[in-house]
Amino acid sequence: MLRLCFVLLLWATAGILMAQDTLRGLVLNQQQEPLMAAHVYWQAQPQLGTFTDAQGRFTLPYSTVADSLRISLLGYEEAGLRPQPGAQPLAIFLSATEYELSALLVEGKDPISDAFLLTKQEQLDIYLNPVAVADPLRALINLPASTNTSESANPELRGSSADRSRVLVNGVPVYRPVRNTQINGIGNFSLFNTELLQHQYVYPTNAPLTRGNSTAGAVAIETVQELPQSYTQLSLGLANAGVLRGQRLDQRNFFQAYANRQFSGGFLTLNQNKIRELESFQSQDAGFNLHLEPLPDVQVDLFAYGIDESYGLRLNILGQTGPLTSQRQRYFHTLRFRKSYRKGSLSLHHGFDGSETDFTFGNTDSRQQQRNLYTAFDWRRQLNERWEMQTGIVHERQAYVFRDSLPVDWFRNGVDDPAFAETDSLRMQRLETYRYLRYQPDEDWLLQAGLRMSLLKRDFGRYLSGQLSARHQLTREQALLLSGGYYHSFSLPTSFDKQIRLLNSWQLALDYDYLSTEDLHLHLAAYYKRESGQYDRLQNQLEDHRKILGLEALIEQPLTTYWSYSLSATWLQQRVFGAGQEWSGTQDQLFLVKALLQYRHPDWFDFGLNYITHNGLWTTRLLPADEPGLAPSFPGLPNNFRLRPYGSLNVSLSRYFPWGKRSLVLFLNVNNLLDQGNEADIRYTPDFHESGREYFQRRSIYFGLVWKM
Amino acid sequence: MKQLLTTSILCFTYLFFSQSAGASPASPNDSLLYGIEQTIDRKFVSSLARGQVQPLAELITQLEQGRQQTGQPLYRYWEAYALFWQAIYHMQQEDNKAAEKATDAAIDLLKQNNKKTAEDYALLGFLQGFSIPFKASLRAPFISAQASKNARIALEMQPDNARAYYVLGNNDYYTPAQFGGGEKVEEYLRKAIELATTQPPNPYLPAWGGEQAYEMLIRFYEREGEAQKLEQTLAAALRAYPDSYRLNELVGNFN
Repeated sequence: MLRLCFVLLLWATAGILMAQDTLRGLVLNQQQEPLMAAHVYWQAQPQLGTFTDAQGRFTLPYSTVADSLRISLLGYEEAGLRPQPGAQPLAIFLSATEYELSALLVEGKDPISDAFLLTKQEQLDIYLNPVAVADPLRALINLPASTNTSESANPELRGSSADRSRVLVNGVPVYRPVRNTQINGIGNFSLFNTELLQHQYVYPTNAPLTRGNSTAGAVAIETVQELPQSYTQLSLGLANAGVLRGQRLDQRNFFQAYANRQFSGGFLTLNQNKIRELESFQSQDAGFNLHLEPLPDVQVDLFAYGIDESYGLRLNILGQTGPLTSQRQRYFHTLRFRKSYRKGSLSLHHGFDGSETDFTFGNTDSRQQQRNLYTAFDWRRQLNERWEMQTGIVHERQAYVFRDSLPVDWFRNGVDDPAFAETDSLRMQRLETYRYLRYQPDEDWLLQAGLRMSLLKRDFGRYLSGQLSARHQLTREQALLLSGGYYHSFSLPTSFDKQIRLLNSWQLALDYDYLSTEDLHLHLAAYYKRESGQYDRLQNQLEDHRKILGLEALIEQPLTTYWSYSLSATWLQQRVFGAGQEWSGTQDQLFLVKALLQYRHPDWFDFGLNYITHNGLWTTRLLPADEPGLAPSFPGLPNNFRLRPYGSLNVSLSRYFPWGKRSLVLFLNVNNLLDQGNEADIRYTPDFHESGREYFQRRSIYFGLVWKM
Repeated sequence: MKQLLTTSILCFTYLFFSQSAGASPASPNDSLLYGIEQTIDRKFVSSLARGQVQPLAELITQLEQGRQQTGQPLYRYWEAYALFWQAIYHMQQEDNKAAEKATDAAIDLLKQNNKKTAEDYALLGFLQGFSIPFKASLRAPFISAQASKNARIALEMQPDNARAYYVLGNNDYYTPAQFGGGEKVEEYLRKAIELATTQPPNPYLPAWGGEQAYEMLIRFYEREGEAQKLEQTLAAALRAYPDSYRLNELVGNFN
């Protein structure tokens, strides 16, 4: 205030000699800082106005008529007043405009938990990723944080099992978001269609507590928020035919609807000597994505999806070789309602997920029914320039019904072996609340903290999760992120583990990123995790805990205008503790290397070459029992045998033909080009003598086209 | 991309030769930022004439000092704008590396602003679009999408921002038809022209956009074979900007 008085006094003194018919003044913001470039004018004569200088000063001849003085400046509320002659100099304060957070601004904003992000993948990132084969979850495979070694699309992040991570669509969890996980190399593996996806956020560790129920990472998918034009897309491949229609309703509202049919004849015929275990597969699925903006500050996103799928394999499981069949019908939808306010937003999330699965192998016949209902409210608010807050409440109800015929002895699963019938139902509900704070003291630091607690005591007692992170921008090119926390999630039950368990995890991670102006990206990370609550099926007991230590390195860079590469290496130590003993986890001492070479020429073709290799997984080698009818034993501890190293070279090639507003894309994918025999497990005879190995997919070829009009 | 690069250079190098729509009616002021857009244009031509970046570079240093000393966000805007002209200068000197560096520096400068105005978003979107020819073709669709998004945010904040409409029109012009490009070029550019030629000028704030929108619209009609519209627009452009070097040159080309 003193400063303001001093400035006014000086200026008033200096202005004494000025003509009395001149109005002088200062324009300032609410923090009493001078505002430059404000337009000051008499309402009746705007063309005779003037502008404030760097010190916020202006001089303006008095109007010849009784008139209002107007002051306007971009980013500030326009002000008006009628100055009294002689009452000068004037001090005029302008208030900063508080923009309504429109749908676009909300959509343009990253989640409040953005400091925990590893990467944000846009729709185009996925389409241009040769490993992804247009599948959003497969687009994670090339990240060093993806430690998936089972060729499944279900995300396994930083050494944790897939069921500990969560995949969310518009904020609603979709559990086990994959189809026929054993079938690789054909069409989409996840349940999601990239055409409906705007971007996805990947949190490899310390999944944000704004969503919860994760003791590993999270992948948050956001559906598209605008459709530039209506279009129809037809796709035809060796094993798939589909149609998609994107329809604009008006400038801001649209829907996308699609349907696919998957068939196995052509694919199995072409690859018959390479995928011996796969006998048949088929599916029909349909999806619907609706985006509405009934008001400029209200958004509604509905995504509904249904699938009817089945497949047949011929497998060896615990010494028994025979047909395995699986049938599944699933429907889910996610609904998000979002209203923007000044400096904040309110969101309502709702989700339903229901499925029926029938699985048969040998003397096992498992029928599972599942229903999930999810509801959440979030309220996000910018408190001031530095602080932002989000709070919310989540309710989820899960119900499972199992009608099973299961082996009496786990090691005797032949068709004629004894089995027993069992019907079980499980229910779980969680009610949790959370508070999340984001503090940005300056441009270089970002601090975040989250707390989440259960409100229901029943079943699992009270539990509290918490997380902290600090991101520091070291230089323009370099950033460091330190994050850690204690987390809870619920296990997903199966026929062989009919319990819902409360899992927990301690996590600490340090991530370093370097991004040069030449687009050279270097990423280094180290993390430590301690996980509890896992069930060990082989020993039929709970693990006490497991420790995971990991190191990651990634380098990626464009080589020329059309060529680019990425290379990553991950080292993982995974130790399991239980019954007073310690043994290797499946991925212990895993050394995982991924290389990608990509060529993309808009006028020619896109080509991608990807190689993934690791030094082999641990498995438990069983020995035949001393007497017939007894369970096999294993020498020493679980995971006592290391399978041979794994390597897979994959190629993708596509050519884009534009034709006015239409286009045609031809594509070809070859998985495991070198036809490497990658061991998945040990194969046994019925009396548990080793008879060879189970292998991951051998070389397979897939091709097709997409016609857009 | 070459075409984009060439057009970008041509679009903006003519600015000096024509009188900007933003001439100030107010009395002169001693501030560095008073009439800064014209100052930057003059420094650019001075750099070109001398074959040295020094005049522009000195102005950029002054703007940087002003930003650091006063904290006025306008200095940041004009520093970014001047860096863009420095990039144009380097391109004229066939030093694309230096041009890319200056463009990236301008983009970074705007991105670092936590309190962006509509003008900041519009310039950011424009610079992102301008940077595309320097980047690997793999990144082009992403940068283009980001440029459009920033222009649309500018319009959300200030629905009558001529430069934001120009950025959208520019982006749509270069987007291939199969990705929905070309549909709204005319609509966006006509809006940019309407706003740029009717808004009262402010000597501290940007006024660019109108003339560039005219030129792009003329090129669009030429591409689409719309001879009558081309002729009408060219006449209107010359009425609005009679001294424009570039527009006059276009007339010469068509004749």
